[in-house]
Formats: sequence, structure tokens, C-alpha cells
Amino acid sequence: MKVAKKRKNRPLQPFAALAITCGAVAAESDVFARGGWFSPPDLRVELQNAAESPEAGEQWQKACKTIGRTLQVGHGPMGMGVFEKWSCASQSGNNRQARRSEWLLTVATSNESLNITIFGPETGGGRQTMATVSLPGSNDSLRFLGDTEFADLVAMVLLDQLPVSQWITAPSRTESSDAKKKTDSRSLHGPFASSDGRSIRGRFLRSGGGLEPKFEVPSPPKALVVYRVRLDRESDLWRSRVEATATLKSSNAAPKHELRKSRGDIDAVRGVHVWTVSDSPTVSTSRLRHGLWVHNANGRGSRQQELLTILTSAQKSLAEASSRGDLDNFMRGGIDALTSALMDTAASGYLGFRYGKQVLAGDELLDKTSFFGFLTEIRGGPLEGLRFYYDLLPKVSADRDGFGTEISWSRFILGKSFGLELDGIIDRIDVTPKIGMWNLSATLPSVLAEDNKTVTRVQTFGVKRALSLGLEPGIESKGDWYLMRVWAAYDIALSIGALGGGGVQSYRYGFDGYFTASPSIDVFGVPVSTAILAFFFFESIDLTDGQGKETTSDSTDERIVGVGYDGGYAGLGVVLSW
Amino acid sequence: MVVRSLNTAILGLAALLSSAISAEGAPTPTPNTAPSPASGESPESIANRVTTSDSKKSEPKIKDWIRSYIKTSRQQNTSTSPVSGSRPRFVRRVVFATDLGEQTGVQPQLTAIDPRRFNRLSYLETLRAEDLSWDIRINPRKMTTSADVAPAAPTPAQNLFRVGEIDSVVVTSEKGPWYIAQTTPAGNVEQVVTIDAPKEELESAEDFHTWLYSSFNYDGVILDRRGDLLLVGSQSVHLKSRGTQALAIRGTHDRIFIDRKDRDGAGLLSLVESDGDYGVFEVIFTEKSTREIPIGTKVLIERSKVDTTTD
Repeated sequence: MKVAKKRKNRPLQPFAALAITCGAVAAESDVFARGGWFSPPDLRVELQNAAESPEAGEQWQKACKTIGRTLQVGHGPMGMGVFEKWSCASQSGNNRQARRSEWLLTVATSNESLNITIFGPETGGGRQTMATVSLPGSNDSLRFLGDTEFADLVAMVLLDQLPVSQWITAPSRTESSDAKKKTDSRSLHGPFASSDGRSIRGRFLRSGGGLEPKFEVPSPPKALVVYRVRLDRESDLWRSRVEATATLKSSNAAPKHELRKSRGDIDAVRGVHVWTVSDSPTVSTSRLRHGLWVHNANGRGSRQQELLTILTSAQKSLAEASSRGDLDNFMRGGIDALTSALMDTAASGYLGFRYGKQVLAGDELLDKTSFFGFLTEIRGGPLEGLRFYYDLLPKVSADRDGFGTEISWSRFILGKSFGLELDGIIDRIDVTPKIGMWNLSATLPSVLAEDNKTVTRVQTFGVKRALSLGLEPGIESKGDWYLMRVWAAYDIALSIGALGGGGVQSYRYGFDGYFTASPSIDVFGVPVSTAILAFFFFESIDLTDGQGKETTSDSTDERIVGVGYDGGYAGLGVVLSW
Repeated sequence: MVVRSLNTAILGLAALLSSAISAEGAPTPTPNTAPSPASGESPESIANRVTTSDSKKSEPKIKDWIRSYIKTSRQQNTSTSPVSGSRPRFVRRVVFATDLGEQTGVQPQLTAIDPRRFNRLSYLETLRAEDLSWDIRINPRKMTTSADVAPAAPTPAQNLFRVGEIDSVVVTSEKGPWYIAQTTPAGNVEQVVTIDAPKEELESAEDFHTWLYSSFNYDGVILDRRGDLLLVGSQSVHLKSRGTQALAIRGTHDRIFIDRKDRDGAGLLSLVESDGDYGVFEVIFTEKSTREIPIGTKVLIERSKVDTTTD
């Protein structure tokens, strides 16, 4: 409603010609100073016609900053960006002209059209058009340009038309230590070229603050060309020196929990594409220090048809949202906070089943035991990190020297993990406080003969609905197709007197390995993926007697108050995540 | 043997021209009235005419001339202005391609030859295949025509000539015959002449150069003219001594290759200055029916002043 009201009050702009002045062309300017090779120029962004209201002026400032930044070196989608600096012409009327050394980006908007043009170096006289895009007009065209997701698409269309689309450099020495930490292919942060020139990185398109992109996302180029280039003014041709090629190695999406944390952040990085630079020819470090240009290997303008289709569709979606007075909401990601929280809660999770066999005990009774487990975790919304475990040791029995022994237990546990994401070999450290309920019933040898083998007494232990408290720290390391987790846990469960009075203490530590089993499949619009789980854990359980019965073969009246046993379980499981 | 026969040819031409002078009582005037060595001026003084400050206004230094010629010729390579009359044909700025793409419409498949090695061998010049292929992809495909028609999108082959500013493509097809392609005045790409493929596979830049250069059957080509001075592209080994004579071969300005038996002289030239693979020659005599030695004329260069131990 607020949006609609604003639109009514705003004076119409029959031809609000916006001129974004991008920093523009250099005629024999400093951008050609490095041995004649072209280096990133500055950009001046201008609105062709002055905004006619303060509100439009604000919209222009936001649009200009969004477009300018998206075209800046290292700030564009997929690593794109060609301008060293950018500046916006304000609507105050106190504007300077774009310098000759600057490239110029103009925005012209009217009810009929939205035209964005980049003017570049010129061999004589005025400026030469380097790239242009025309879209249907809208009263809210300036607001559209302020949407980072839409601006990414605009930038892709424009940069695809230029003779260069991306500038990469090696980090300086002072940056190198930080760079080493951040050049991991999964890191969501820069730099965009590794220090040794072996790979090129570029971010995913932004999602405008929403969890998922509002518009269709263009695929990353499969191959890149790395080169120097200069403008031959005699022929008006760009002359290159090709240094290397690079091929797309991986596209690493950001973990969903990170995206959720950054919900509302219009600059959130959703993932990183990584291209591997060819071995021959190779990019020398010295060349990389001076900087090199990169472009889609299919060449200038090769994706125009595809990108324009996507951009036009995006503009149409924005225009439709605008016409129904829902533009702000649509640009934020489309759903309000409560609905969003609920959707987030349901939209992402984890469900696993596992089965393991005893592998360590060497005891007639414990050797027969097996273990079933069920684990689910919520990975979104306000309940993110909530885990529920159900573990079951089915009842088994064995005869020991004429005594009947048996054991079974089950536990329900609810936990909430708190984690810290890291860059490096260890990707995450977390700790999970837990609360739960145990049931245990066991008749176990409590006294052995002098040979330390023959059972002379057994004792029954039991806890029913014992309240348990626990703590589980863990560390994780993950790759494209696996996740490794090492963990330890301590749980203590005590029965209240009426329920038996016994107690259980459990010390466990173990290892879980998750291996991607299939690509994600779409289930009612939710991508679901499967993984195989391999696990092992060691468990040491101490049982204390409450009112347990005792069966003996001797005359001793001495009462045993507790027993303990150790066991280790290894097995497999299957995991669904979405 | 080559040197001996060439010298014989040059001496024969000199005798022919001398007899013509005797018969008519005066030498055939050269296009320029500048004195020649035959009139008593030393080659050194002619060289000075090219290089001294006194002549700067009218005759630029050879380096400037070469630079100016290369710049102009590259522009001419992309010009589509119709040229009347017989067009000079020769190879200077050339690339090698296994497929020109004329039939398939795809990008020409260029052969990777190291230009740093190729270009130091003679006046022939080639480009780095990777760079040219990429230049084609980053420069918009636009083409102006001389006619008053809408600009046409160039074919891939036309774009290769335009972006590379080349005059020739040697097409070394694996299936069809090998040939040299050049552009017509209208900007179309045409097969100018077929060429026998080498018996052995060409591998290095030197292999490509040796095969092509030896196929020409001449030592150099007249690239430009200023007055009676001619800029000749050749090999530096032929251009070391001032006064070295060269025979301009009649009727070869529009032929890329000549036969070994082509020895009809159009004029006798004398080297006055050189820079690397380029030399400035002065016209000493012209054959009486030759009013002007046209650009593109091929020349044979005297070997007597060249180290002949290799011949």
C-alpha cells in the first residue's frame, strides 16, 4: 500500500531521461599508460534527464551506486567488472562533466523505454558507443536498477558487449597472506585471481536479499580467455595478446545456513565459480601483478540473445510486481517475515537412518547387539540447528554360565547446535547441548570368579524415562561431495526414585562420513539430495543400580551398585537432505 | 649456380640497356631526374640523400619510410575502394590457415606459427594465431563498403583480413589444394593462385618461411616508391652492401609467383640504404619500353656482393 501511495503522489516523468555517467573513455589517457596496454578506466554514471522529485533523486542515487558498483572491477557477477572507480552525477544541478579519461554510462528512462549505454574510447571526436541495452519502460525503472539482482543481469548484458569483461590481478605481497587463506575454491570471498595465477574466481549472481534468485540465472561461461589488450587508434581495432585460457572447474554454492544468515543482505554472496587456468600457455605472476583482462571465450557479444531474454523477463517480473503495488516485497524476496520463517523451517532439513553392529565388545551378550538410529535436523528458520535423535538398542539375551543376561535401551534426545563457520581444513566447529529421556533394561554380570571369566552373579539394572542431559562438541570438514564429522558426547540420565532410581552415564566419541549419493532431485519444488553415511562410534556406559534385583550363585550378600561396559558400533546409513 | 646465372642476367640486362642507350644516343629517362651512380654520383651521396638532414623534408629516413609504409599498407589491406587497372599482388603480411571458413561459415582455423621466429627471416610478416583469433572475437563485425549500400556483415574470411590487416592467407588445406587467398578491390576473398604443397611436413616457423619464400622464385618485391627511390622488401642478407644491384623483372607486379625462366628486365636498381629486411634502391636504368617500374614488381638481387659461400 505504501508503494502504491508513493506512486500516485509522484509526478509522472514522461521522459525522465536518466543518464548514468560511467567513468569513460580515455583518449591517450592513463588507462593506456602501461606500455600501451589497456587498463581499467574510471566510469561516470549519468542520468540523462534530471529526476523531477526528491524521491526520484534518491532512487537515482541508489540505482547509480548499484550499477556503478556492479560494473567495478571484481564486484560484478561471475568476477566481471572493468572499471577502476565510478562516480555518480547527482541531481542537484551541481555536476561536473565527465572527464575525457572517464568512460560514460548514461541511463535514459521514460514510460516507453529504459536505455542504458556505455560510451568508450574514441579515436577522434566524440565518444564511441561500446555497449547498450534497451528495455521496456516503467515508472519504476530507477527502482528496478537499485535491485542488486537486476543490476547483476544488466551488468552481464553490458559487459558481454565490451572487448573486456573482467580484470584480474595477483594479490600484492601485503595481501598474499590473507589471500592464501581465502583462495580456497569454496571460499565465498576474494581475491578473484589466485596468487599463482592458477585459477580465476567469480561470485554467483546476487539474489537481491532473498534466499533464492528472483530471476533466471545465466550459466557461467565454460571457458575464459586471459589476455592483454590495447586499442589501435589507426585501425580502431582492439589488439590482444592472449596469455592463457581457463575452463570452468566448479560452481560452489554457499551453504544454505550461510545464505539464511545473510537473508536480507542484498550483497550476499551465494557461491563462487572457479575456473582453472590452462597449463600452456601459462599466466606469469609478473603479468598477473600488472593485471590481465578476461572474457568469455566465445567472444564479445556472444551471449547477447540469451542474456537479453533473461533480462527482459526479469524486467517484466519487476514491472508486474510494480503494477500490483508489491514491488518492495518482491524485490526483498517475495514473502513476509513470518511466512518466510515458516517456509525456511520447512524448506531445509536433514533426515537420516542408520544401522550398526557391535564391532569391539568380545562379550557374548554385547556381541549380539546392534544399533538403530534416526536423526533429523532443521536447518532453516528460527529453529535452525534443532536436532532430534532416537537411538535404539533392541533387546538381546545370552546365557552366561547358567545365568540369563540381557540388555536393551532406547533414548530420545533433543539438541540445539551452535556453530562457528571457519575457512580452512576445518569448516565448522559446533557444540550441541542436549536434553532427553532414556529407557534401559539390563541384566548383566556383576561379579566374576577368580578366573575373571566365570560369572558368579548377575544384576538387573533399569532406568525408565530417565531425564538425560548431555553435551556434544564436533568438528566438520566438507568438500564438494563429502562431509566428515568427528564428535564426542557425554550424557547423563538419572531416574527419579519412583521410576527406578537408576542412572546411566554415556561417554561416546565417533566419526561420521557423509558421501553424496545422487544429484539433487526436485520434489514438489524442493531440491532433495541423498547421501550415504558411514559411521563408527565408541561408547562407554556406566550403569548405577537403583532398585535392581540380584541373582547370585554364592552366599555373598554384598550388593553391586554399578557396572560398566564398553562397545563400539560401525555401520551404514542413508541420508536425505533438502 | 644461382648467383652465377643471376649475375649473368644482370650483366646481360646492363648490356642490353647500354646498347639501347648507344642506339638512341641517350639513356631512357628515369621517372625522376635525380642523378644516378651512372651519372657520376657515388652511392654514398645517394644514400645521403635518403638519410641526411638536408633531405628530410623530401625524403624521409628509411626507418620512417618503412614505418610509414607498413602503416599505410595495413590500412590498404582493409580498404575496399575499387582500384582501376592491374592491381599489384604480393605477399607481405600473411597468416597460414588450414581452413578459411568460406565454405562452412565458421571461424578460420589458423595455424600456430611463432611470429618472433618467422618475422626475423625476411620482410614477410605473420601474426600470432591465438591473438588474431581472439581479436576477431573481440572486435565487432562491421564492414563498410564503397558502394552506397547498407553495411554488410563480413564473412569469417573477410573478417580475418579486416581484423588482421593482412594481405594474404596461405591456405594449407588437408583435403584440397593449397592456395593463397587475397581480397579483391571490392573486399571479397578470392583464391589467387594455387601452390604446390611441400613434400615434407612443415613444422617450425623456419620451415614455413623457407617453403613459402623459396616458392616465390624472387628475392624481393618493390613495395613503395618515392621519386626514383624504391622501397624493396627482401632479406637482410641481400641488403648488406651499398651499390648492390638488383634486376626488376618485367610484368611481375601482379603475380605472386614467378617462374625461374622469368628474367626479362624492366630496370636495374642499386641499393643505397637498408634497414634489416628492407632496402631503398635507386633506379639506374630502365628498359626502354618501361616508363615506370610498378609497385609490386619482383626483383632479383645481385649476389656477388653477398657472401656466396653458401651458394
